[in-house]
Order: sequence, then C-alpha cells, then structure tokens
Amino acid sequence: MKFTSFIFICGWYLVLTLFSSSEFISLDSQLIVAGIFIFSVGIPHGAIDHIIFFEENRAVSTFQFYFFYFSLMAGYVLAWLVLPLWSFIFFLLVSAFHFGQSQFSDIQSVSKMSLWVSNLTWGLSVLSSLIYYRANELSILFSQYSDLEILQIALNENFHSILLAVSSLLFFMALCYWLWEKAISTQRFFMEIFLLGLIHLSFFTLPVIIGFTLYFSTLHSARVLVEEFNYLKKRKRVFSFQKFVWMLLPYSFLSIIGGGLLLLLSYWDWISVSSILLGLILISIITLPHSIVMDGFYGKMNKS
Amino acid sequence: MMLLEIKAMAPNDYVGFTFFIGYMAMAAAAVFFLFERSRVDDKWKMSLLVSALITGIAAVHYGYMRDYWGATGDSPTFFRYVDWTLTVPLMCVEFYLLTKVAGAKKSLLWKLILASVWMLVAGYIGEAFNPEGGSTSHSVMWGVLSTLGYLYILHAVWLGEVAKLAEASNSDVVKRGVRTLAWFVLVGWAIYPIGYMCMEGGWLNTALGWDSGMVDLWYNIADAINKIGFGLVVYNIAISETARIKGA
Repeated sequence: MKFTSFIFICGWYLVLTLFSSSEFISLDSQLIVAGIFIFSVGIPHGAIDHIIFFEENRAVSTFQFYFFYFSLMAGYVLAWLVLPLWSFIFFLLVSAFHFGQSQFSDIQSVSKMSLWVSNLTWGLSVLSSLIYYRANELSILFSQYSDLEILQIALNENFHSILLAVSSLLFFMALCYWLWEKAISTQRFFMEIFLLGLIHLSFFTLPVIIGFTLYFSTLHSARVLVEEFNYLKKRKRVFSFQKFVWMLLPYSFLSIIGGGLLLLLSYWDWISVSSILLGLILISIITLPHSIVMDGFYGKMNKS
Repeated sequence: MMLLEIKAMAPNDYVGFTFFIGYMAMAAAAVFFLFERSRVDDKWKMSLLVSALITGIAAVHYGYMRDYWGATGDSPTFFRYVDWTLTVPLMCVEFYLLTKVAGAKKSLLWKLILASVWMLVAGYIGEAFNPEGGSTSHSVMWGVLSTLGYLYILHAVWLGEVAKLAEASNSDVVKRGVRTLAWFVLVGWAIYPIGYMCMEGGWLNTALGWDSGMVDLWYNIADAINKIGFGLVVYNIAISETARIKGA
C-alpha cells in the first residue's frame, strides 16, 4: 500500500464518521475545508511543471516552453467562449485520463494500449461515479446560474450510469489482463479494486465537494507531489524537502492570487461569468498543459 | 433458567441464525487449531494456541449470546465487548508472534495491544453509553476516537513496523501471511464500523435508515470472517513453514 493510499483511507474513515453530523456542516464550511486542501496540495502539485519539463528537455528554450504553455491556456479559454459544452466534455476526458495516468504511473512492462485503456477507464469510472452518485447535488448547483445550464447536458444521470458500468468493467478487464501478464501482483490487483471501490463509496456517501476533495488531494495531488519529490531527489545532488517546498511556492501563490482575483471580479460582477463556471474554466486551462507535461514526465520516468 | 428452555427460532431470524452458526464455527475452529497444533514445528505451536484461544473464547461468548438472543431477542453490548477485549489483542499477539522470527520486540506487542484496547474501549463507550433513542454526536465522537486506534494498527501492519519486519524476514510464507492478515485488518475489520453505524443515532441508521437490529448481524459476520479466517491464515503459514523446515 502506498502512503498516499493510506492517507486516503484514513481521511475516508474519519470524514465518514464525522459526516454523520453533516447537518451541522454548512456548504460554506465544506468549501472552506475543500479550499484549504486544494490550495495547499491540489494547486502545488502542478506548480513545478516547468522544472519537471526542463529536467528532461534541456534542448527546449524557456521561451518555447512558456509560449507553448500559455498558448494552450489561451486557446482553451477561446474554446470555452465559443464551444462551452464541448470544452467541458474535453476537460472531463482530459481529467479522467490524467487521473488514471497518475494512478498507474509506476506500471511498467505492459503494452501501451492496455496502459492507455486502463488510464482512461479508471479515470472515467472515478468521474462518472462522482457525477452519477451526486447528480442531484450537481443539478441544483448547476441550475443556480444561467451560464451553467448548457453544461448540464454533459452531466446526464442516465448516460453516466452507463458510462460508470462500462468504464468500470473495461478497467476490471484491463486489470485482469495485467494480472494474467504478471505485470502486477495479486496484492496490487486487489488493492486497486479496493481503492476504486472505496472511491466510489466515498462519492456515494459524501457530498460532492468533500468527496472529490478527499480523492483529489490525497490519491491524486499528494501522490504526484511525492513522485515529483522523489524524482527531483534522484536527479539533484543536493535536495531537501525544504527546497522542494520553496520550488512549489512561486507558481502556487501566483495561481492562488490570480485565480482568487478573477473569482472576486466575478463575485463583484465585473466579469459576466458565474464564479462556478469561472472556476471550471480556470481549473481546466491549468489542467490541460499540466496533463501534457505530466504525460511526458511519466513516459520519461518509466524509461529511466 | 434460560439455558434449559427450548426456544423456537423464526426462519427469518438472521441474527439468531448467525449466532448459532458463529457459535458452532468458532468451537469447531478452536478444536481444529488445538488438534493441528501437534503437527507443526515447535516455533509455531504458540501461534496456533493463540488462534485456538481466539476462536475458543469467541465460542464461549457466542454460546452466551446465542442463548440470550434466543430468550430475549436482544444481545447485550457487554458480552460482545468482553469477547473483543480478549480476542482482538490476541490477534495483535499473532502479528507479534509471526514477526518475532524477524526480530520483533516486545514494545511492538504492547503498542499493538494498547491501540486495540483504545479502539475497543472507545467503541464500547460509544455503543454502551449511547443515550436512549441514540445520539449522533456521542456516536460520532467515540467512533472517531475508536477509529484512531484502528488506523494506528492499520498503519503498523501495512506500512509500519510489522510490515517492515515481515519484509525483513527470510520467509516468503511469512511475508505473504502478514500481508494476508493485513488485508483482514483493512477489509475484515472494516465491517465492524458498519455495525457500529447501524445503532440508533449512528450514521447508517439516521442517514440511510438502516435498521438498528442489524448491528449484531454485521458483528457476527465480521467475527466469523476475522477470527476463523485470521486463524486459518496463521495455520497455513505454520504448516507451510513446517513443511519447508522438514524438507530442508
């Protein structure tokens, strides 16, 4: 069992017990708790993309990297303005693949096809379960703002019930194939099933914000941070946890302050986009280039 | 005299059914471990004795609980926790005995015992002193405190001292055995909170409307899986290691 999986299990048990008193936990309190975790673990896990990228791609200039990174972000903002529904669906797909990729980052000696299928189906199983189990909550949330109405098509409960069943089944088949090929141990096989089951159960039992934050901050973000730390520790002769935290700070602060400012502008109605949609756009435009950098990182990490 | 009365058991009395099954299964397992003890190498005899004690103690308590249930249709929390207070620390002793070959110290044994007692005492207060009609805050507070003890043991067997000692041992059988027992702690022991949360005021009772009468059903299922299963894993390790020693 990985340490981050243990933290997820601890968090789940404790939150579940605490959640019996959910009537005392307001939405604002949930958002504050979620905000603390997203800002302290979620955002930092993507704050050193540039460092990770240049470790393996020294031939690429700084200008080229930032040009590519920001062009992608700007292009995605444009896409959101022109095709919001498709941009949202694309965001869900990219996130699903990215989540799956971080879950199986250590799997080696398997065919690219099976890895690709597992990454995507695992992520889809996670996201579709969140949408399916919390459909009512999401529907209430999305119907509060007129600019979110169009996105509700992508949250169709029936569609996600089918997607959940199909993706989970395909993932299970891919996992069985890995076990058959001896790419994973029996222990890992059962642990993956157990963890996915626990994620589903947490989405079923916990409110959407708490459930997703628990998964995102422990099983995804913390896990990626641990991998990044270990990778840099291996690459650099002098490296410490303190140094790592210093590396994370600049872009984390920039993202938090920039994002916070934009959300405030939306709150004050200076931007005619609801805060929820703005939040989705911000997260998606950060996620896209980050996923691409991480895709390269995982590829190189496994080769080395 | 409760024990001399013959009570009819309704065909849909699943709790009563599991009390009967549990009693017989525990008793049979205790006899099995005691008899098989003579077949294993000396260093595994203590482990099998502990397995027999776990199932034997449970069988005695299940006998009481079965009769009490038959007579009153109820099961006092008291018997349940007396049983657990004796048997759960003994399961921790099993972890110590298994990893002793790899250099486990007495301090590990005491840490595991203390964590298990903490877990049980907090659980007992949460369940036995639950106010009439059920109190969610009471159930939650003691549930969280109990969970902390459980998480300590979970950490020890998956990532901490027990896991490291098992890895350091030269035996694949011990490694595999400890890993299997760790699965019992992770999945098998996790069944108990389901029962706990079914009691009046518990989360499953208030939020999902699960019947508080199901508490004992969950506990009986969990006990059968964990106590007998735990013992069988230890038995398997003992038999495999004995065969290996004899073959060498």
